Amino acid sequence: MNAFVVWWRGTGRWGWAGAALVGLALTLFVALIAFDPVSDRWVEHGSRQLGSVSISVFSRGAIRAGGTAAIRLALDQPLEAEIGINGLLTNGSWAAGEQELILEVPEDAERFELIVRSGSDSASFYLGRAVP
Amino acid sequence: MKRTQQGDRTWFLIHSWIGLKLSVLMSFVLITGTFAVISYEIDWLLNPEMRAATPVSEVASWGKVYESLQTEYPRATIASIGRQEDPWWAVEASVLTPWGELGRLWFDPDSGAFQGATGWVNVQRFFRTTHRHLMLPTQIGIPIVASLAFPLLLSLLAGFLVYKKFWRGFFRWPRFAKPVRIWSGDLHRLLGLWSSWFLLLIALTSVWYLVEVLGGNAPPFPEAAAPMARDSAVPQTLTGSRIDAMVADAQAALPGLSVRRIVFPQRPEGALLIQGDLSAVLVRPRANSVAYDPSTGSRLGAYRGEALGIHQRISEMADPLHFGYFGGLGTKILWFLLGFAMSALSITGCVIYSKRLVKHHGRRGATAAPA
Repeated sequence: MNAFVVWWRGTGRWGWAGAALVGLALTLFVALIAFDPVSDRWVEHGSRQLGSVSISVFSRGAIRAGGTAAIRLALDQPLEAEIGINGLLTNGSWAAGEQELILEVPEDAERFELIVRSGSDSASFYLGRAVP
Repeated sequence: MKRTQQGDRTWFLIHSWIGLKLSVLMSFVLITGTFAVISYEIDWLLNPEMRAATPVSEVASWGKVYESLQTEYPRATIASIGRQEDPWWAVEASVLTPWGELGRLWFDPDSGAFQGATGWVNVQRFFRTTHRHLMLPTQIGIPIVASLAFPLLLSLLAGFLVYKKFWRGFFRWPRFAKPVRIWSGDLHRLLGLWSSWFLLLIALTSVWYLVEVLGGNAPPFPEAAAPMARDSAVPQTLTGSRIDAMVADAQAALPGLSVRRIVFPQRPEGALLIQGDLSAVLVRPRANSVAYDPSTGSRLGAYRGEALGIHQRISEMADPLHFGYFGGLGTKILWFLLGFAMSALSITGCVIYSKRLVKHHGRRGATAAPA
């Protein structure tokens, strides 16, 4: 009989219990790498005045270059503006109150800055910088 | 005579039962623990950011590191800035991004320049967390792992009781020319003898970890005076030059302090701690600490390793002894080799068992065949 099989049979139930714990440890570690352990709460990035409109910005989850960012805008008045991260701006009309949007993050971005531009006015919110 | 033989047989059965039944978990814990000893060094080899651009024995300016950090990651929450003791290490800052992701930032110890960032999960985290608590919640994982100390101690005792005149075996080289069963047995005995003191040390420190997790942990370090009330954990007024002034003051308060770590407050009522190596042996850097008010830079209190109680000293001693970092890279390499020997004990024990049984089955088969 193969020596490995002999050994494994010899370990009996203890072998299975040990293997289960080892397997669980390895699985949990892989899960830790695969699923970002990032808080799901909204993070406030401050408030700015853009003309007569007051804007507060929040983000949720990790922000990574080449990915998307979940952003929440809180406006006290409706706003026609271009909004985006770094240079990647999207034009739109934004209603007063809170609204959530998903914005693309440029591939080459290192530091993330949300820019809101309306006519000649603009406001920027530094969102942060990712770790690899 | 017969009773002695029976006793030997019992001890042998205990030794082999423990070694065999617990071999899967025990081998995993031993192997991960062995690599955990040098896991920082493995990361250092894999990540150029972790290597000091200018190797120096002491960090030239902790304040410059803080300023670089503020420039590169202005909205990150800083947990600590620290450095391993060898000159080839970059300064490490543990930070939390605004969205709550842990990371490590690396700085040159001489200029304070930012060298790069790495994720929180690395080789060191893998070996440390799987070895320490099998990635389970610590209240469950640590007792499981630390409980292995008891079968380990019993196995050590049984090994000595069944190995007659063991002192003759210290210089008996394994007979590698013989079949696997013979040389693995020789190797098992030789490694067992040379690593027995280490095995005892590892088992005893593991018992201590079990005591700690079950509530026998050491009392907290001496409390410093409360800092001035402020709005944020780290005040906006904290600058690099203030950090340098606090470091200089800490070295005046504890003459000879080699600063290894600055721990930043995480709450508005918390103090900033400057910690390092001093004269007490077998303690962690946190055993020599000076507390500051981060708003004003005024000293709030200080203590040194020698002033700690016996319970605290035992607690401080456990990590340096378990991981072998008390003597720098030299003791780490020694601990790694001894850990390797311990892991080999577990594996050679299984080889001996299975080869013996294979031979036994072979004999039975050969006897049965003619019939």
